[in-house]
Amino acid sequence: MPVEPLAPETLFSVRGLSKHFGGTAAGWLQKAKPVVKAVNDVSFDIRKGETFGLVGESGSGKSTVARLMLRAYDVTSGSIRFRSDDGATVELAQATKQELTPLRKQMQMIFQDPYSSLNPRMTLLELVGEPLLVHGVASGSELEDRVAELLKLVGLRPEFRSRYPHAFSGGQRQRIGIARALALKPSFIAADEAVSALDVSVAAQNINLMQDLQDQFGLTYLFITHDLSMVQHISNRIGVMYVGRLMEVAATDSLFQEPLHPYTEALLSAVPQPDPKRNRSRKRVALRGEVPDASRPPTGCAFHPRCPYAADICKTLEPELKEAKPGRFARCHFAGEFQLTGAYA
Amino acid sequence: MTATSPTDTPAVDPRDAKEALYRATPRQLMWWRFRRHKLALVSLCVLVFAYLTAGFAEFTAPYDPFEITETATMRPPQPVHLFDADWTFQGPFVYGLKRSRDLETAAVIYTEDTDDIVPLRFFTAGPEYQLWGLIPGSLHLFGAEDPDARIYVLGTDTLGRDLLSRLIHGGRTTLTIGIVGVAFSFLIGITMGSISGFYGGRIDSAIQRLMEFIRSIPTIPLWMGLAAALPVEWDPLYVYFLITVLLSLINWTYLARTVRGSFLSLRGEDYVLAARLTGASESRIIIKHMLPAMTSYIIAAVTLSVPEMILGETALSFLGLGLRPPVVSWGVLLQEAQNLRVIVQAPWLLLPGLAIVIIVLSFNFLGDGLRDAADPYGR
Repeated sequence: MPVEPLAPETLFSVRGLSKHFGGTAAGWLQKAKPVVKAVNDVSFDIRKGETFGLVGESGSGKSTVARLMLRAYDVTSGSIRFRSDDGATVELAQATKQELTPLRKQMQMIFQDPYSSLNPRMTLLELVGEPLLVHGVASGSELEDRVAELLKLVGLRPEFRSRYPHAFSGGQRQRIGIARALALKPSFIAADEAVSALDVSVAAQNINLMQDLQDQFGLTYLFITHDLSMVQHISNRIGVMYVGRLMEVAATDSLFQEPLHPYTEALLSAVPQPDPKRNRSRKRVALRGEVPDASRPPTGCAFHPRCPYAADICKTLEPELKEAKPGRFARCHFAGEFQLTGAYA
Repeated sequence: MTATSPTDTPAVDPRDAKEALYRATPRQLMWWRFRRHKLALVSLCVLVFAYLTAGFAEFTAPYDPFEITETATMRPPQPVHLFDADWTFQGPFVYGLKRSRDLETAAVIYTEDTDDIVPLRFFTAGPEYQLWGLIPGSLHLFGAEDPDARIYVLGTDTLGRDLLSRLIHGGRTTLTIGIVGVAFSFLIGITMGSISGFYGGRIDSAIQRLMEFIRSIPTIPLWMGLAAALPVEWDPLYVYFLITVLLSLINWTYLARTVRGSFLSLRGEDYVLAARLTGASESRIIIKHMLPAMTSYIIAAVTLSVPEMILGETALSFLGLGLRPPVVSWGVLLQEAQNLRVIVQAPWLLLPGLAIVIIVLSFNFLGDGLRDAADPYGR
């Protein structure tokens, strides 16, 4: 099946991506599992060299999107097109294991938990060197040199390579994870809450390190977080997720200035402001209710039970993600019709 | 946010004690943690001692466990002394026993004769034997200095057989049945458990239900039925072998559950996903990432299931369903001590029960210690 080639500046193009978990009927030996639509009709592009931020509450499906893009899971429906290093466009959604193996060199992941993401029974040499060994890039003393180089790159001493992960702090472990992700010189790295488990100063150090590495190697990041001020600091563009749906996609500044989706407005109003005067005078949007269960989403727009602007149409008809303004996408019937408050108001 | 150089950590000296800790392999760390568990360490020593003693039973036992002495039936234990009645040091010795009869009941009475000192020596010549049925010898760990004198440190049974020798030889049977039985259940358990945990889904459900079915069978009636099916004229060795297989056919479910559980939890670990995302093959993930993480838990689980086996054998033999004389095992010894006359007149014949308690407790403490030490994030 021929794949429609991507525009030259695009690295990833996700269209109508869905992932449903469970959904088994009751049998003799097990009970029925309800379908959980973890990701539902998600579409966005990631441009080469940019940092795309994906924000949302826990359970909104942002990690699942990243794992689908790296094909840690099988895709239920939709397409994921990726520009390979040789310039060819590949369709990842239906790729087989054999087809994926060479592509894995080009996309890597940094994990949230610096403890469980490093095998406690391997030395740094084995951990960071594993991707090189698996792909037959280096072995023996060459492998040792490469690992030493990678450790230096993330600010760890090369002598550390005979140590085990238990010798390191959370921030250092996260850098080991970064070194492992960099080992194969990928073009794309998905950072799944990569600094959420660290305290602020260490997180800032690691963010700066990641930005330096981005400049040095021309990396493209998918940065997943629930921390809006973090995402504002590092992302070029942002996608906002809610109950498995992408609610809004926009460039960082315009999203923070003038959100087009009521959910984004509510999220932004929760970002603390450094200026206490402005903080007090600011309009706060307090959301009613709870995040709905992904196995039983509300009818119509997933956000309507909590939306302060909800109209009758929102209860029955699910809106599409549409281009409300040039380069700005929102999944709302009234996108662009309301005057919503941004973070700078 | 200002960029601070993260490279300002101090230089590494490989001889440094801290650096040694940082470079310690998981096995070393496990041993260090295990060492702090004093009870487990003592248990390990007890078990090593017990297995060595039983392993070299022909050498460590002073006499042949089957040798019947008509003139020495139901002799009480002769405690080992170092000082005589006047508190003069004599080296290890026992007092001789005088045999007489109660004039009214005609029962045999043994009285300690403090004038008759029987000195003991290490590495004495005694009855001939063949170690493991192969190597002939006559050297014993200890015995009376005078080759004609006979000593019974733990007394004798109703047929005049030395209880200590029988206990040591019985230990060989009982202790190996634990290990061999666990090896069997380990084999079945690890296979079924990994199939169950690895494939999941329908196969998993089927195996789980099978395990629940096996566990719901009442063990004693099952054993009775199966033991009754074994022909009486069979070689005791066959019976021994079959009893082990029988015990492990029930016991494997526990191990399978442990293996399945660790497979399931490891599949969800981030580092396993990380390996998969680097493109590592399924076999590499299992061999390099999952199995090493599981071995320590499996070792602990195996250790904890040995006492089950030992108790199972003892219970079967005690009920007369398992091993039968002339095979000696602790269960057989207890079965022989199974009457009121023994309890009243020769309570020392219940000593094998004490041996079982000590061994079972040691295995449990050792297993506990190993389980604690195996946790990579434990304190």
